Amino acid sequence: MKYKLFLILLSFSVLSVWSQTVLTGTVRNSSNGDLLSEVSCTVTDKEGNKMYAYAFTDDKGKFRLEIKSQADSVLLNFKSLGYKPEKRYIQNRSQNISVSLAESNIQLREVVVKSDPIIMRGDTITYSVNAVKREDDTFIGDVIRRLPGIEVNTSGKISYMGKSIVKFYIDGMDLLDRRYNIATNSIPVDMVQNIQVLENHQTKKMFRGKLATEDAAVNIQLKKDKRFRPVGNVSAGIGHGDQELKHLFDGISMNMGDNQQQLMTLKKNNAGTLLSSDVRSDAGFDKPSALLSPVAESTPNAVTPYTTFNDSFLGTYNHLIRFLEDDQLKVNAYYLDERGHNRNEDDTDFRFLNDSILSISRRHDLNDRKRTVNASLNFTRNGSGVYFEDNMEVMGDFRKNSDILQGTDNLIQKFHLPSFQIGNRLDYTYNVGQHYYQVKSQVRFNHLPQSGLFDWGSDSILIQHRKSKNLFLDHSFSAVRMWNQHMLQLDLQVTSQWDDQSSYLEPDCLNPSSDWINVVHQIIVKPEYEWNGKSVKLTLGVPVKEFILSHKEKSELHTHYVTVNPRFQLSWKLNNYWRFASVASYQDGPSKLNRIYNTLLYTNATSMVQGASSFGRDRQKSVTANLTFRNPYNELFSRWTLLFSQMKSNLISGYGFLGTHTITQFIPCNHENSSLSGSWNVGKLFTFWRTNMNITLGAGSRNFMQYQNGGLFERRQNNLNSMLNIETNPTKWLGLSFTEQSIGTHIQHGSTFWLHRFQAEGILSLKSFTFTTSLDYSANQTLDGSYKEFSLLSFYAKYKHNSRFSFTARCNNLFNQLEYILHSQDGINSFQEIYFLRGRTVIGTVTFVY
Amino acid sequence: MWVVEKGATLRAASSDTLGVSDFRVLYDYKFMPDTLARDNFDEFTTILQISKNGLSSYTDYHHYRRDSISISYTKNGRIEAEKSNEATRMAGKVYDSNVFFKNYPEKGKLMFCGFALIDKYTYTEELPEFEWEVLPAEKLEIMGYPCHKARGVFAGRTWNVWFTDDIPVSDGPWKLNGLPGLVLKAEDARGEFFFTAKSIENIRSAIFVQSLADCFKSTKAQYQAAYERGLKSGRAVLRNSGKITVSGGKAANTSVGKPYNPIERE
Repeated sequence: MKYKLFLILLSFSVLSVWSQTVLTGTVRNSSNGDLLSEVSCTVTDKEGNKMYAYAFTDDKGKFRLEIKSQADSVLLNFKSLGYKPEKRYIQNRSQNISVSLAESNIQLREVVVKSDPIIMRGDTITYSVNAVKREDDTFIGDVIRRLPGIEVNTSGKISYMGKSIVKFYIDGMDLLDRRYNIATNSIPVDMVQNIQVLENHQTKKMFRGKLATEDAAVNIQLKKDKRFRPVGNVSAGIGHGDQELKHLFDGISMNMGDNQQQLMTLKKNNAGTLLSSDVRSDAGFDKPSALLSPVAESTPNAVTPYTTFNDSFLGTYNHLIRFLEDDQLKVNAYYLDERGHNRNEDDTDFRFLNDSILSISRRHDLNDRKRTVNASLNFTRNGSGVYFEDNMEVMGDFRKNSDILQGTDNLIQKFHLPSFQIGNRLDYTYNVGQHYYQVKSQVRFNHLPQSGLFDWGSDSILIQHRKSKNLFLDHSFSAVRMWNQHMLQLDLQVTSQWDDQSSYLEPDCLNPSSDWINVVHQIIVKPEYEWNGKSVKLTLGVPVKEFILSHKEKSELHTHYVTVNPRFQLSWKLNNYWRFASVASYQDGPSKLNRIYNTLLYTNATSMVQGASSFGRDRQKSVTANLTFRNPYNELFSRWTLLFSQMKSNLISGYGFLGTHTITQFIPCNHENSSLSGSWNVGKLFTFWRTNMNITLGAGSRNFMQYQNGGLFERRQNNLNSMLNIETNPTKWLGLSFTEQSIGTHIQHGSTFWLHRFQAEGILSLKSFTFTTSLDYSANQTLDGSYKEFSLLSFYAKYKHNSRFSFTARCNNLFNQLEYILHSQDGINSFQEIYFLRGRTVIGTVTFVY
Repeated sequence: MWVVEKGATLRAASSDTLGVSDFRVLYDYKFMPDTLARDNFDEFTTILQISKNGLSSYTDYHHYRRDSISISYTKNGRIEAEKSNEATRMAGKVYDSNVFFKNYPEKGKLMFCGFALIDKYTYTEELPEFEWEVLPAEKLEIMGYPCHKARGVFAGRTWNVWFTDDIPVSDGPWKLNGLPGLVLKAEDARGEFFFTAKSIENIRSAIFVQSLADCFKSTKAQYQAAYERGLKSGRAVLRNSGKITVSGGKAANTSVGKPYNPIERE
């Protein structure tokens, strides 16, 4: 009984402790009686300090509040946006309450008070340098060349998605024009905050947002503390290699502001860094090609940095002043003095129609010295209604080289290869309403008084003199009309090139001295229509070109024709996963092989060139198509590409022979080349160790005609290529990369040979220390079918003492490999090149930043 | 639809406008991107646009500005790439383009639109429930508004928030909702995420939504996985994107992988 009584008492006490008030009711609009939903109902103490319960009215304007407080009375608040709040002081007991709220325009009391590593927004991809740099990166170019989509070729030219970039900006200003290598090879990584890739970049302000473009640009943004004051970087290093002392000095000083930019560089080294690449430019005012040359200048990528023994000096001065918002004036100048020493050996088997073979073996010991002075002045107005740019440039190049030849020929050849150039480039664009008009003009004059001396010893000397004066004029006018999704553009372009060349040989044993003038006029009328649909973009261009070519030597030669060169481009986004793109084009114009002169010229002591006697013409049709699939959920990417091209030409070039001299001949001959190739690329990102894998497989076939020594050969070349790349980051401080590439070539009636290359790189970052090691292994199949192996191992260590001082040690070519052998075939001839390399080199460097 | 901006400027808006907000609140958003570097915080301004009918939108303030400038450039439902760039430049640096729409596409739902590096994703879920417990004893005044404190739990984090019933909307920055007033201040119990209101303005402005046709329709889990991949292996994601081609032969980067400290832990 006592137990039961206890239970009853307990239940009463629990009820009294947990007794709760339940408030229910409805809220209406006082003006029309409508029930109001989403009204906030709160219960607080009388002062409004403690909140006991809250609820919102439902769709029928009803609310229910449960109060777990012992307070005698409470404050009930009803509030909703757009209504005057209501307060009710009530006894704390269960009850039903009806409330009406009056509409009100009372507004809230206003109170106004005081990153990711890669960001892709619109057409700009911003890479935070801190996130994408590696500790062994020295200059900003080292980072740029690793960015996705960017390719930097051996001369430093930057391409994005296979297209050269149109501008390189520093803090949004174009200080260096096309010679941006000065910046990429000199501005230290630590001075830069971000690198931006600007896709669809329209350089002219007035076209922005109006004229679509597929051009890309790169902008580097300096760190805030590196602007508005003189900053710089000085590196000095010393080391040993190839039985001599190696030195290097890199200095840069800059002062970058909003309205003025100044950049100076001073560099010198004999450690293998060619400074001519800093000031090389591949467009516009590039240096004219030399008329004479000791050897064909091409080195395989795998060994390009190791083939030259150099001593280089470069000084540059660049200054940009911006006055007003849109106007800027800039001055760029440089002086380059570069000596280079190369050694290589060519072993060539030339095959004739009767299957006999001419074997030639030559060993070159080449010394080269370039001294170049260049200055340019540029004024630009980039306004929203007008664009005006004028650029004037002068250049003098004093180049000399000598070559000691051994093997099939034994002689010394010396070249004197100066060139002088002056030019002006003008661009004026303005708009009237919906119409845009553009006038462009380019005038360039160059003069090349060059000569080569060939000394076989015992008074047997031959001197080839060649002079060229070349005037190039290019004027164009464009009108553009845009409306809705359509764009219509009409271009009119007139290009003229006048080339006056002369040659004479001393003593005159081959041909009498000769003088000729080639003139080419080209008139292009190019209407282009573009339609930008939601998922489809179509471009149709139908340029009509008129060519007028004339040649004046002893007799005169003229030709004149009109061609139509349609081009069709389609890009179609099928859905979020699939995309299709295709380009079809037809081109008809003067042959790229046109060399119209009737004389035989030495280009060097062992090779000559013989011009064609008539004009050549090429007609080419090509189609490319690619289909892309991408699933971002599992990071799987795949692309299929197909490429077909066919070219008909009436001019062919090939080799003829005079003893062991090769003669490059240009022969009138109707022939056809065609090629078909396909490739498949697949990429997959795995979460395991953040591993990314890429595989590319490709196959192609090419049918072509080859001319040699009076005979024509019909050939087919098939090739296969594969590439496997794996990048992985097992930990924060360790990164690894492996790439395997194989290229197999089979030539009909010839042999099959393979080239394999394996690259591995590892980077280890531990606090102030960074270690990098890289291995580049090649196995190249040679003429006899055996493989020549080659391994380049490099090691790099860096210690960063503080933000101002750092120390690096670098050892290149640790295995001291001195020869690289590459075999290639062009259809009928076999080439084997041996490149002699710089040996093991160790260099220590100290760098100071201010 | 016409959108009224402050200063009564009329602008034609495109179909990308969901509605019009009645007022807007700016918040300082501060967060710890890497839990191993606990002194290191990132910070930017965010905007919550609230409409009387319950629809709201929360995003980076610069992202909102960019959208509103872009919309003014849009003609026939299109915007030129360069104009879009110009809008970006004018708007300022966008840190985060994620947008949270509450009570959209219908009442009680939350729609998310956001980027994982290069792709846009969207997912819809029920408005999150935080299981709030109002702490009656604690009060704070923020910008002159009296605020009550509440504590709630959601997605692996405990949230302490201060809300004012003087602004009777059940809303707040990010996914915070369910209290009888606007959340003006919020922080997670680990001290890694902070939202603090810094302005309240009676500005009627358009609530924008990006074209959903370009978005991958996903779930929250799918989006979070893609976002994590973008942070940790951004270069590889870009490389596999098909929009960009890369040559091989260069080592992966040890420092490119960014730490990931998700606001929703589960």
